[in-house]
Amino acid sequence: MFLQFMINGIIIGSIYSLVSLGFALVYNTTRIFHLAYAVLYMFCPYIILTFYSNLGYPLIIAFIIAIIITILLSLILEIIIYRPLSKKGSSDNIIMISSIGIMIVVINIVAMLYGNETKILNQNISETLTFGSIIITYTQLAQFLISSFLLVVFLMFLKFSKFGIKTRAMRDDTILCSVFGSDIYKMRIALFTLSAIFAAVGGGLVAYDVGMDPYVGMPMLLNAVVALIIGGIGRFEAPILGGFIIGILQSLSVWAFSARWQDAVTFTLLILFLMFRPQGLLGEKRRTV
Amino acid sequence: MNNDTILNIDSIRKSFVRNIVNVRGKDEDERFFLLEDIDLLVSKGKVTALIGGNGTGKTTLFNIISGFFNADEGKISFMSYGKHVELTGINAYKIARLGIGRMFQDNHIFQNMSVLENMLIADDKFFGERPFESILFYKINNTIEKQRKEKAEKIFAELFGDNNPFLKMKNEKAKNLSYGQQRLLGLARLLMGDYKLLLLDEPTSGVNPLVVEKIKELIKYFVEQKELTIFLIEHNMNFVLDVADFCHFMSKGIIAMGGTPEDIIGNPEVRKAYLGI
Repeated sequence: MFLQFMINGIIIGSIYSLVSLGFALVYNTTRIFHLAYAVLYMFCPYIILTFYSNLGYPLIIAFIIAIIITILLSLILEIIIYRPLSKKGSSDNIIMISSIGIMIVVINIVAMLYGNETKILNQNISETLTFGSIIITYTQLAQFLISSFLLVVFLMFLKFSKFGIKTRAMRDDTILCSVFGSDIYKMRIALFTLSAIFAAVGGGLVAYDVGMDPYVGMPMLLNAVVALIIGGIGRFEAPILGGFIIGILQSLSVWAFSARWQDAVTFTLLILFLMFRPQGLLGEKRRTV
Repeated sequence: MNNDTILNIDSIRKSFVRNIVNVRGKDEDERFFLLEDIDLLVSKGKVTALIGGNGTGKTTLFNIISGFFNADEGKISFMSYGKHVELTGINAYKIARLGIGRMFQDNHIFQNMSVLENMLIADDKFFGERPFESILFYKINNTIEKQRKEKAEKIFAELFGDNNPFLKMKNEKAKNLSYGQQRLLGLARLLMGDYKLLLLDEPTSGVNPLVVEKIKELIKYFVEQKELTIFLIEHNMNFVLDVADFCHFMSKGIIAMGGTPEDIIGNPEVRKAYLGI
């Protein structure tokens, strides 16, 4: 049984990593505490629902359309809300509060259009693969493969392309970036696009497994933020490590206690980290003077 | 603007708001002009120094040239690739692409990136910047990445000799370099871009005399071998006397005096107003 829960933990951990990485991508570079990111995670499955269940498109096509629409939503947020605020030089808190505002508005619009109740995408019982005593559904397999693929590609991207170097440079100093000829706002468009892809893929894959309601975004976002803090703010590998740790710990807490203890375990871990290692696992202590 | 001038600063005015206590004892915002009326020419292929007391607006002027601030009035024109370009109202990144390099007084490097990456980011070829370019054209991308690395290593070898600390530490984080080395890295990086004019904000502040000598050497090399034009802010008068061809003294929002460094620094008024001797 232990092994089964471990595997479940790794699979859900890969989703946490993906979602957390999308959040980190925006937070590390622009310092926007992008709470509306939760909305992107919730929004994608509803578009899949529309195109797949209501309009009868094939699942893959519906998924791709949903990702594209989620990207558009993300860019609208950046262009209409964040960019004007940051050009005016608003403080991070103002941007965060406007982000909360957008989140509430979009959640309520979705609730109005689709209803508050839980919807499911996959009506059938998922087929399974059995390895000895371990059972994995095909949905879980897809979750793990797709998210790991995206994680690996992104990390290579970050390491070896000029875009990656610029992303990491933006994390260090945006003003210095523009001195070397980078258009910060173009970079931000790319970053918001990538982060929307991660949120949409994560949201879609989870919703295909367990269904969704308009409020699924926030708990996921909290997990993503905890993963980011545990891994270490400021590095792009960190949320991936944090995501896997949280996924495995949550799954093992189901095994040891009960499913109700998942969040308690997550936030206990957060408190411990904030007290004893605030820079996170991969983070480095900053020189304070 | 004749052909020897690369940068023409024409009656620039810039105001800020400051908080004062008025005659009735209440707080009040007052607008004042930090830059009253700045006229200045920077000659091509020369080193021009700008001196003046703290808070006279030297860095503000640099920020206006490189596009971080907008001037209230006046215009700046720059000779870029044989054409006159008005810099007023253009974004900072576009000004960089026109060929104006900038080094800040502090935080001039990306602390958490490796020494080599610090060089790569300043490259004048922008290929691979768009997110999917490097995947779609990975062969071209590989060649260009390789060229970039060779270029960076060549610059290090040219400036600091073969066995230099930058080549040895190229994969370490730049924050592990000493402060003086960080400054030299910041200067070396300016050669990666295709710049015509370099704005250096106090290149020698806070570094030891050996590094100051090295910076002198680099500036001479930039001007003589690379045909760059340098416009710098400096408080170290010996340094100005050694490297600068022209010197301008800024005071009370205007360029109070201009000429050769010997004339300006030897001038009794400047000595009294600025140097205090």
